[in-house]
Amino acid sequence: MTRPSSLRCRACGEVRATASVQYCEECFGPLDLVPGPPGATGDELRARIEAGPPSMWRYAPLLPVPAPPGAESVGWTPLRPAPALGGAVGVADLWLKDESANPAGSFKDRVVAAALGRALEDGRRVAACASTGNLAHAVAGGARRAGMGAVVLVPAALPGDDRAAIAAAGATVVPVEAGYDAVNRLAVEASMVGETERWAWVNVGLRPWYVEGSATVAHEIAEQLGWRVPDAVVAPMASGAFALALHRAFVDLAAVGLVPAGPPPALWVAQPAGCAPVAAAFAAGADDVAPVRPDTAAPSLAMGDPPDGPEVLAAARASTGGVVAVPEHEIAPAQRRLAELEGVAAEPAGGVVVGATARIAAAGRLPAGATVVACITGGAHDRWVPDPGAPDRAGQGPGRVTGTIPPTVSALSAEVAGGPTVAPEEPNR
Amino acid sequence: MSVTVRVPTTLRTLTGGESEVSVEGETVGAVLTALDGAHPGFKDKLFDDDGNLRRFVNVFVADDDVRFLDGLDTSVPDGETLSIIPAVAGG
Repeated sequence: MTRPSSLRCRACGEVRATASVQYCEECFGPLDLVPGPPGATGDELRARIEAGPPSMWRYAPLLPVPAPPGAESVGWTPLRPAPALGGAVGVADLWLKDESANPAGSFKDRVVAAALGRALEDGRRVAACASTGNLAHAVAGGARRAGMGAVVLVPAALPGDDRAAIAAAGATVVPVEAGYDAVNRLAVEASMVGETERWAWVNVGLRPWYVEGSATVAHEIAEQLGWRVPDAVVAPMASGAFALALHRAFVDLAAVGLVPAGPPPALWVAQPAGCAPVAAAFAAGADDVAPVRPDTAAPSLAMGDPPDGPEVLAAARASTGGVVAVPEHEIAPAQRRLAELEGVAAEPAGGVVVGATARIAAAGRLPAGATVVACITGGAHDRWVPDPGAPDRAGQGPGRVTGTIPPTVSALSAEVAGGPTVAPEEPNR
Repeated sequence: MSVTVRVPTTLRTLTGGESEVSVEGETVGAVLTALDGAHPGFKDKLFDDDGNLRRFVNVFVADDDVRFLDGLDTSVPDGETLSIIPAVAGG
C-alpha cells in the first residue's frame, strides 16, 4: 500500500489526481506531491516502520511510491556521531548523515529508486536523465537492478573515462555537443515528445515522485536519533529539492505523530560562493532568486537557476535557519578536515556543508548544546581506474557510449532508435 | 525576418498540434506577440497579470536564456530559433 497523494501546482495551486503530467497545464508551474494521511499514525506507524527492512523502504507507509525491484540496498545510511569535527567547528553535538554509504555513493540512489518505483507503476521501461555525476551513476545502477534500460545524456566534453564508468553500470551514454544547461534542456524537450516521451526522465516528468526519495533522509535522521528531530540540519543545495524535501518531511513527521509535536529543525542550506544565488537572496532579504552562471569547485552544486530557490528561502526563514555561501577557497580544506577528523571521504559538496556548519557555529547561530545533523550527500568520486578500451567494448553488457549528437530530440531518437536501451535481457540479480 | 518557435507539448493545442511554427519579430517580446496573434492564447499562458513572463516559463534564443540577455527586449536574429520550455528539470 502506497500512501495516497495528489499533485498540486506550486504556482497557481490547481490540484489534480496523480497522473502522467509533467507540469501545470495552466501556468507551467512545477507540480508538488501532496501526501494524504498514512494508513496509521503514532505508535502503530512507528511499529510498522521498525518492523520494516533496513533500507529506505522501511518508510513505505509514508511514501507515495512502491519500491522498484533491486532497491533493497538503498538508504538506511549511517548517522555518524562526529565529536572530533564537532569540537573543531564548535558544535558539541554534531552528527553526519553519511549518504556515501548508498550503492552508487550518493543520496541520488534514493530519488532514483522513488522515481523508478513510480515509472514501473506507470509502465515505463527506460530510465533517463541528463547528468555527469551522482545522478548518472544512480540511474545506471538503479535501472540495471530494476531490469530497466537506461539512457544518460552527458555533455560531449565529459572525459571518456567518466563516460565509460556510467556505461559500465549498464547505461547507454549519449554525448551531446552542448554545455550542461543545454543538455538538461534537451532532456526536458525529449520528455515531451515522441518515443523519448515514454522514457522515465527521473528528474523531469517524474520529479514530484523523485523528490520523495529525499524525504527518507529526514525519516532516518529522526528514527536514528530515537524518534526526535535535531535542532538544526545543514544541507547542500543545487536545485534545492533535497533541502526542501527534508524540511517538508520533518514537518510531516510531527503531523503523523512519529516525533513529538514541535517545530521542525532549523534548516541551514549551504551553497558554494561560486554558485550561491539563494544565499545572495537570503542575505539581501529578497523573496526572488536572480540566476547566476556557476563557477565553483563543487560540481554537484553548480545549478545557477535553482528551481526550488524561493521555496528553500521561505523554508529556511520559517524554520529560523538560513542560507550560507561558503567561499570557494574554504571548500577543499573543509573536505579534507572531514576526512582527517571523521574518516569520511566526501565529494566537494561535503566540504561545502562542513564549511557552512563551521560558519554558522562561528556566527553564534546555534544554541548551546544544539543537536546538529550535517548531510554529507555524496562520497568522493576518484575511484575509477582509467580504462581506455572500455567505451568500445560492444556486447559485454547493455551499456555503451553512442556517437556524439547535436542537442536535438530528433538526433537523440535516431541515435538510440531500436538500440539496446529498451530491454536488457535479464535483471542483473 | 522569420523566427522558428519551438512549442512545448501542452501548448500545441494552440498551434493545431505543430511543435514548431514560424512567426515574424525582431525581439523576444515581438516574436511572442506575433505568436499570440497567429495562434491566440499564448499570451495568457506565458505572461502573468503584470505582463512579465511567468516564473516557470523559460525562453531561450538559440542556446541562451533570455534572462541573461535583455529579457523580452532581447533581439532575435532572422532565422534563429526561440524555444519555450517549462522550468522543471534538475534535482
